[in-house]
Amino acid sequence: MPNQPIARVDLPGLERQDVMLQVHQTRLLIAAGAEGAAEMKRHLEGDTHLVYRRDRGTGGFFCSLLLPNGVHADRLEATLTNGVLLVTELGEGADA
Amino acid sequence: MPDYTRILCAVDYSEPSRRALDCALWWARWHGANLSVLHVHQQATPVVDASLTGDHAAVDTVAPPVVQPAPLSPQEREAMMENLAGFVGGRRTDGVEVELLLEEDPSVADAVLARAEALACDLIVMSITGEESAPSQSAVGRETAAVMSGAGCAVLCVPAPAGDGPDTRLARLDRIVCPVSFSDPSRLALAVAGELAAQAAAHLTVMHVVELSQVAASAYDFDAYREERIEPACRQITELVSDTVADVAAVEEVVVTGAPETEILKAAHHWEADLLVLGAGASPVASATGTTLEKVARETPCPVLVVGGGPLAAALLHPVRAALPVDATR
Repeated sequence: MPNQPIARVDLPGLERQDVMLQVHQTRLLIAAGAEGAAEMKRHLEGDTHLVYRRDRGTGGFFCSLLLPNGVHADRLEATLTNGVLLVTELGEGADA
Repeated sequence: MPDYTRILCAVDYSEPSRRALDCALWWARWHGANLSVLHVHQQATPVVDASLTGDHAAVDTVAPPVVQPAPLSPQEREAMMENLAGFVGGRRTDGVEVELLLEEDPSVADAVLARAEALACDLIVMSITGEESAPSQSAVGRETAAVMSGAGCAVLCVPAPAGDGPDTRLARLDRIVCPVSFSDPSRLALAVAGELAAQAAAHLTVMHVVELSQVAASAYDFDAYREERIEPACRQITELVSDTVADVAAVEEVVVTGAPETEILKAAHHWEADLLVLGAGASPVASATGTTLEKVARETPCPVLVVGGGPLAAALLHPVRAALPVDATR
């Protein structure tokens, strides 16, 4: 089974160390910058009303995406290339 | 560009209208505008004199006599103008040219709208609650609601004080929140909010609320239903911000789920907004208790700028681009 793309997010100007990913229940949380980290914290504490936030001035980012049925969190892989974050689920036979 | 050069502030001598006047003076100083301060002496509504109708009421061709309220005498007008001058005189004008106006009309809203049109005003400033509302009530004043819905220019609605002490939110513009529904009025509101943010070097938060119908969702998978609503909203708000306020240095876009009025008020509190900018009729959600706009105005912690029709709307509205770039996909 080939690798399955899960999410693609434009994060211009950000480096790998700026980005945080976390699987929470059925959702994939992506955050960048201080504002994004704060939103992720709020989300994990139960405030799930905010689902998307992008600050164009600071680059802060947060989004909460529903994972497709059957996706295994331990098989997710993320790459950040030229400001584009790509999250994929590795296919059968690939190393997680 | 929202270049406010002629501002009309309606006052009724109440404390909320004093705050509206302070707010109007700040906006007039900021934009170098002329300010007209209007007090409307509310006449009694003309009534049919029942004592004079008598048997004539049965005759269709005879119009019942109408008793018109007596106009103010010159002495009464002079006294009222002195009151108005006293009300305005204690405020900080800082060189703003202030004109005092007195009208007599059975309808305050009609008088305000007529005077605003006659003066070609581009901004009307009013308190959200006035003399007609008891302090314990947080309802939008009847006259203010009528002006909000009938004005051909922008209306700035100023809330009652939240507590004791000076409210700095009336005289600063650091954070603007603009809720959008992707309708034409809300696009116009965003264009105005963007211009104001650029002028004031303020931070602009553009937010969209996705309403999730529990009834519809109960028919099938709620998570899938929720995601079907959220994903297009994220793409649309990204497109809208890029298209409308790309020049604003500090702008962020936010998508939340929930009831529009609740989430807008939460956002205003959470981000300590100094101004909410909404399009008149931007939120089509209506109920027996009023529109989303009225619900927000009822409990807002900061002034609400309602952007409506008029020449500004025609100048700022332009077609939406059809193609939306994909920003975040699953």
